[in-house]
Amino acid sequence: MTSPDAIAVILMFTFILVLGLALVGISAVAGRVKRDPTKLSVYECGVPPSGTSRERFSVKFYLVALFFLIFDIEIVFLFPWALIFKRHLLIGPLIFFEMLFFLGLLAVGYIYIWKRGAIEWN
Amino acid sequence: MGAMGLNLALYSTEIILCLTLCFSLIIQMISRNSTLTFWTVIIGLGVAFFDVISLYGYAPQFYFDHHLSHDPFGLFFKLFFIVVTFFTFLFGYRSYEVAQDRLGEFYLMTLAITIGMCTLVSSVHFLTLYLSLELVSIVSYALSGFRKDHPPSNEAAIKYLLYGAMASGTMLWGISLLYGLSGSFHLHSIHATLSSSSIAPLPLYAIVTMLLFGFGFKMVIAPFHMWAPDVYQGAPTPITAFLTVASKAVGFAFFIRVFYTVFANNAGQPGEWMHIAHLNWPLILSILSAVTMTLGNLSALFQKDTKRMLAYSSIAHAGYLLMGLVVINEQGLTAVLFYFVVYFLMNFGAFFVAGMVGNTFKNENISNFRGLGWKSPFICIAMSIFLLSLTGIPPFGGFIGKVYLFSALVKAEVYGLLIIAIVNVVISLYYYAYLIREMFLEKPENDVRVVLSPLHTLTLLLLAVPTLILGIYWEPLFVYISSSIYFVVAS
Repeated sequence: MTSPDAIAVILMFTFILVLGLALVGISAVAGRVKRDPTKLSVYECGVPPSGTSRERFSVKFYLVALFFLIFDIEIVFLFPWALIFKRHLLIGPLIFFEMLFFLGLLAVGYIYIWKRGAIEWN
Repeated sequence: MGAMGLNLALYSTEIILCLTLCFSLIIQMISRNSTLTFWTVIIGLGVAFFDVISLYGYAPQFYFDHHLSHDPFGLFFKLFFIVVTFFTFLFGYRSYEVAQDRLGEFYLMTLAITIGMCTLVSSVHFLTLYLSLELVSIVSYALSGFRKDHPPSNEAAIKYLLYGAMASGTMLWGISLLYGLSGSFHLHSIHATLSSSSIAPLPLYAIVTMLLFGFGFKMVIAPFHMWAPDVYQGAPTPITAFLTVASKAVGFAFFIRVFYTVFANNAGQPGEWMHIAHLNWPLILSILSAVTMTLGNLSALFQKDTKRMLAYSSIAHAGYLLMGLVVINEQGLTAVLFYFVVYFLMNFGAFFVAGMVGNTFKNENISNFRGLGWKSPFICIAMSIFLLSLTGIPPFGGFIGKVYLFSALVKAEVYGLLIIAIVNVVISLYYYAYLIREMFLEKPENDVRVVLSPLHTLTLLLLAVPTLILGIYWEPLFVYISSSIYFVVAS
């Protein structure tokens, strides 16, 4: 039980446990606040707060962000391919068609979201 | 082109499924004709099926730079998943639980899961394993929430997601610890490191516990089963049937591959394994198996909802299946794979009938079955076949499967687990027979009959008849499975 591997595992678990407990515990004990209505109210540049802060907003923002993420990752995958492309082209044309297939799959996805109306802004 | 061409040829099943996925989506968008889309995916699945059969001509080998392994074990499971997907599509056709205008998405997601599963059963590298496991899991979360207007379905998706993310993270931590100990992600390299150098037992037990969290989540064994009843009850029934069978099978498949390759030595003759020193994971498995069986069976006794009862019964069956892995030899493995085939037929059939009855009555109470045997005899006789087979009563396939599992235990002299299993089979008889009693020995309260379309009648026949036949003549299946438990050994 005194082998370095065992000690490493025990140490790791203990550290995680202690860190988690310490972070929560110290802030619960030493960071207590005295509640006060003014302190708890919403900050609105000094004027008294009016209306609710939770307005509804359209889901189109979320959709655009999600689609951006997907196609951005696609571009990320294009970069290493571009670096080795010229060298592998000497072996055969397969490397070109592989990336074409990958882009084609994502193009199918793009046509899908287009036809489904998910990129309609209005 | 040489090496890459061979890689792509061995990966052709997944590529064909991928193309089917794309085509079915395009056809659904262009034509909006659900029958045409349905036949596209069926043809695509058929092509994939024959492609897997043609892959038997290649010699067992590693491909894609030692990330994937081409062997009969993987090919058996690929065939299994394609057949299960085929039946799922038959089930989902004109089902009121799968929104028919979003059928393209249903086919897309189910086929994506199938592609992930086919890659998962072949992977011998932890990164590919994790990647395909996430593909299977994340799309399953989305698929279990497919009924957007049905609150239990939304609840199922959230619970599945949260539990699955937690299990996945813990498993990933275990994998990273294993990498830290052994310096490699490849299953065979890790095994070489673990068996050559002596590693203290504590880190190994910690790793196995964390891996079991992730693997046990997929295999639905206690204490990682808490998500299953809610998810199986809330998800649309075709998807529940798919998850109960295929998701569980893929969990067992990659569990077998990882544990039998990394944590077990191929001692002596082929077909005999011995767990590596200081790490008695079969003992852990036997305890988990006993707990799973008992918990599943006892919880199913109190259920008033058909799908929830069947969900708990499928948890209990995961316990039975785990018994076959406790005895780490060829007999246990053959028994597990054989039981999977029969389990698919009877469990899918039971969920199919539950789904058809649910379609008619618009809810899934067991009281819907009251007196149904006199009004719709065909569907109730099929349900009785499935229920009796699930219990393990001859002459149905379930009995043969249980015989093989129990005889593997007897041969290895694991008698404690055997007694627990037999008691559990007796307990399970109560809730299966309760349903049969409701169907045939009670007077019907109303005149509602369950009418099946021809396609659904055909599906039910395709599920019930093999369950019957496999109880009488199972030799060809057994021979085929015995030849399928061959993993590629590192060269």
